[in-house]
Amino acid sequence: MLLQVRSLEKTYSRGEETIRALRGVSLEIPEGQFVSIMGPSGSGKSTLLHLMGGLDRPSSGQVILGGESIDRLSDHDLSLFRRRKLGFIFQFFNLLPTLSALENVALPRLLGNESLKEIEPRARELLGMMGLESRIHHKPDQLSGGEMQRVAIARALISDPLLILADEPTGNLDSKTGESILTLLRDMALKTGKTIVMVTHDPKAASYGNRLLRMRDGVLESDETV
Amino acid sequence: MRLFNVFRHIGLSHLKARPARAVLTTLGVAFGISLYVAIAIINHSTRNSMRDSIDAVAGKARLSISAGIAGFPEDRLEVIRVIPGVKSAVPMIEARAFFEGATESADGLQIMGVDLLQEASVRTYKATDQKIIDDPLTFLNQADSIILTQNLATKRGLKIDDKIRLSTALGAREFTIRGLLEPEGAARAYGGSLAIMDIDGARVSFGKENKLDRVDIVPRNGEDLNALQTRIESTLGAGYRVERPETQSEQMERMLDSYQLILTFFSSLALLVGLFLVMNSISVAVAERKREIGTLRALGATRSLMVALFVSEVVGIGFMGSALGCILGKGLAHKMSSQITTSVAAQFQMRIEISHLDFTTSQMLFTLVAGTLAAVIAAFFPALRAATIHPLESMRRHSESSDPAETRRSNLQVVFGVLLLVFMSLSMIFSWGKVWIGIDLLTKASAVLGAALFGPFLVLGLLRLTRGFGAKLSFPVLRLAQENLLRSRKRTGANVMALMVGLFLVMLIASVRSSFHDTLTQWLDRIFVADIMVGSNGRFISGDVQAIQDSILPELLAVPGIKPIGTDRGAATRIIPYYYEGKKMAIKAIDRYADFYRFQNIPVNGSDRVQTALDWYESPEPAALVSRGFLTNAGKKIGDHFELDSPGGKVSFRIAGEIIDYASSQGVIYLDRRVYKKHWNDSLVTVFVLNLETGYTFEQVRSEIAKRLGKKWNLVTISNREFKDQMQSAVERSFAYTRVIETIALLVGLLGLLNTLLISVMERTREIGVLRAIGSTRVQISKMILFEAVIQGFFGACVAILLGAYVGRLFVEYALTEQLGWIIEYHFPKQSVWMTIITGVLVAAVAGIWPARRASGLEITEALDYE
Ligand SMILES: Nc1ncnc2c1ncn2[C@@H]1O[C@H](COP(=O)(O)OP(=O)(O)O)[C@@H](O)[C@H]1O
Ligand SMILES: [Mg+2]
Repeated sequence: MLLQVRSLEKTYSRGEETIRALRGVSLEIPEGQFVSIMGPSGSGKSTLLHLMGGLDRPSSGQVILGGESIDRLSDHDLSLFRRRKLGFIFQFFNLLPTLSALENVALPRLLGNESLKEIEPRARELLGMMGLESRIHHKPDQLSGGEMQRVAIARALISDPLLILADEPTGNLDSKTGESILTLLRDMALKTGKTIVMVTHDPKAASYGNRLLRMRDGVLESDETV
Repeated sequence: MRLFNVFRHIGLSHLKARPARAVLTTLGVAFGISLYVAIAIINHSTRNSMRDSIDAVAGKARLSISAGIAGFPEDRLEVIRVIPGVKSAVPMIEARAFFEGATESADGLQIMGVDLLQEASVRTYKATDQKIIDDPLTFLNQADSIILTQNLATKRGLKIDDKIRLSTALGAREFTIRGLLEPEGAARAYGGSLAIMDIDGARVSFGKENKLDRVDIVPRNGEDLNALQTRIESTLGAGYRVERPETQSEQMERMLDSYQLILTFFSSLALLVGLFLVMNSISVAVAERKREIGTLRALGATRSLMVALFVSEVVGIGFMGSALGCILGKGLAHKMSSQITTSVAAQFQMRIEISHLDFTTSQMLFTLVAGTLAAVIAAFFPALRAATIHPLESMRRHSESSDPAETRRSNLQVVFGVLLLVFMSLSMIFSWGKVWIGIDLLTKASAVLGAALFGPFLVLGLLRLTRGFGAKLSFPVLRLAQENLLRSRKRTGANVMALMVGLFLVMLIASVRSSFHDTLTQWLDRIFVADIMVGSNGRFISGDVQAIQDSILPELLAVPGIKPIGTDRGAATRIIPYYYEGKKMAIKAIDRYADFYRFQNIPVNGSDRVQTALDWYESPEPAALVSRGFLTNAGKKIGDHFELDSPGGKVSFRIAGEIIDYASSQGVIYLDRRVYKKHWNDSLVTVFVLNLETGYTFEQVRSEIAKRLGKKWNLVTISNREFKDQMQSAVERSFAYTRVIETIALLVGLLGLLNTLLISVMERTREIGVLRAIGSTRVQISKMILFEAVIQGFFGACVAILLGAYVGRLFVEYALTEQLGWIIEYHFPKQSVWMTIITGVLVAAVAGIWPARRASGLEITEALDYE
């Protein structure tokens, strides 16, 4: 099993109030699945995604990814783990505005002190797969939203990760561009056998996956495999 | 009222939400103000102390008569007494004495030799034991009697009946303290560094037999002072100065003016850096709150209300900063006052003891108001931009990305900066500042403002030039740091500006210091070729020593190992201060031993040295060599004649040539000592210069001199090397106060950088979150921010060196030469280059620590949510 989530809880305290964002979520994801998570706003989708990606630590429960219990890792090791084993795609693309498309894609491996020369062929290849050959040296502000998101997908793939996590990747795109991004994502998953977990509140987007989780008030409401 | 509401509900909430920024900005203002206040206090107190001192010595006297350091015949007193309108005329002998073993002029004290029986008609004294004043006979009966001030006694740990050894014209002598004066009346003078002796005793001890230095006149009631003054002048004839105490103060104040102006200039620079900080803070706050402003505008707030909102936020900061600045400034004034006193003493050969540092309530109120106002004005311009923000801004999600208006503005800044630098250069070269003091101030301000506006442009240029470097190093963090810096010209510019101005100031001061230092060293190497100098305690350089009788020369020459210089005419120099048209100059009366060196030690400017020296010594009419300062102040040229007042009347001198001499910036006059002795009737000597016989070491000769003559005359023998070392440390000391200015400027620069770095971290919160999400470790983030800081510190330092050296050169070659009358050659401060760079990098690194910790401490999920 690629990913195991065991009775995950996450509580936030905001002043006096405590918010139970996750109230015991357990699930398993085998390799190669494209999982969509749906649910109303505030239901805990992002929180779950963040915990699965090691961006935050659970209040209780465990996340085991690739056989490794990631909540045991130190902050430093967790950073290295994200760098090597995970890919993230965000709603607002979150490319670094100062870097070219190529450098943005290469960034996770650059952070691992590989030289751009070493990474460049792979980065170019990925940008090619995303149909961005002609955009390699452009800065984010010279790209359209769809193009930016495709750069972000390439970035998520550069380290050849075990798992790709996407939080509302089409939330900031028009529906046509969104569809093309989703198609790209699905084709890529099929071709490379990558595992994807995607949060969305758009049923149409969710339908690109082959498994659908529904959340409500911090618990898993349903789990259907298509 | 509306403004009050907006401030209370919105402005205040922002100050509370960003306490760090409010505190940093306040501190920036406070440091800037503190230096300004400190200098203001010191300048003010220096003037007050000087005036007090003059008034205290003058007492009830409305006029005082003097004739220069050599004094005038005692019998003139009777002549003066019978001039109509004179109620009382009280004599005085003035001398400078030194505690035995003194090397610092701070160890000197002013001797007032007075006739205690007559004193009561002009001056008042209050002794701890009043009997000594009221019944001075016992005091007079004992020749070794001296009265010190309570102040001085406490400082040196002395009490009544203690014995002290002072150097006098007769050598070291022992005196017994018979009384102590409370700081009232005359005892307030010279910051309390004074001693009262009986006039006859003083005459003997200080080589002034049958002479007087000063007579104080109390006029009869209702007497017209002008008429009386004219009457005295015409009775006494040439060579006498009859002055009112006020005139004396005015003259000295005028002398201090340019010096104090430079101090004020330096201190206003630090203030300026503080104001940059305010400007920065506000301009960032406006950018950051674009959406909020847009929303408020959409809700119906007017443009002017928006400007007022930001300005009102600064009022508190400006006020708090000014208040804190006042407190810090007072402390700083204490720390700096002795350094500045030393510096003034070195430049004007006049020690003004600051008796007390006063900072009046009205000064404080003024500072509070002016400081607050300055902060408000600094905030006003960036706040104006709040008015231009469109209500639609509230709908926009991202407000970053380059704005063409922004680019235009920063281009305009660069152009303006260049224009200021061009104006500054032209103004310095053609000395426009002479036309009107306002232009002078404007020139100095443009130097700094120009550097501040143009400097960041150069820094960005350097950054761009070295852009590929980080990538090549395959050091992703460095590369990210570089790109971040290049991304926002405005932000980097703001970061660099404050620190750069601080470093610029360091380099400017270093330029001036090293130019002084090197020029002086070179001059000394030329002028001082003898092996040994023998004199009395005190400071050799300025002649601020107790003079000795020239009759000891044969005894000196009899010491084995000593080789006389030149002919039997001796090897003595007499240095005296001399007021020429109100300017304090120095006369150096020199024996003609100089031909021994082919006049090497007469550094003539512009004409043949030997020819000029011979012309001077062998001139049938009295001739003099004069410095540039004299020529400028007197408005004369070579070949002209000028007159000096001597006790025997006016003497006319022909100017035989121009010499280079740094003994006084106002002017130095070289006379042949034979001529001087004749006209001034003064055979005292300030210093003897001698050579070593081969086969003897300096130490041997020194101990021999000490054995044979030292005790008796309290002689000090120093070698060529030692003298030069003393001289250099004197230069160091006279620049010591600049360290405080540099430190404050750098501190403000540090705060500025810290502030902008914090802001830049905050602005990039999301980005940092992304970097963390895709696998940056905390250490990497931390490094990135530190790199950003250090790169800015490094390039800021490079540009500061460039601009500082350039402005320093103009300043030294034009402004200083003009202002001081000293020809100072520019010397690039090589040693300071590394220091400046290291300082820049270190300050930047320190400023980067906190922002780096902030950035690396961010929680990823929160950072990703940050808007
Ligand atoms: N950092 C946080 N601090 C406090 N509460 C939070 C934080 N992050 C999320 N929450 C709360 O947790 C709940 C779940 O949030 P989230 O996972 O973002 O929901 P979703 O992505 O499904 O909209 C919400 O009520 C939200 O307000
Ligand atoms: Mg969400």
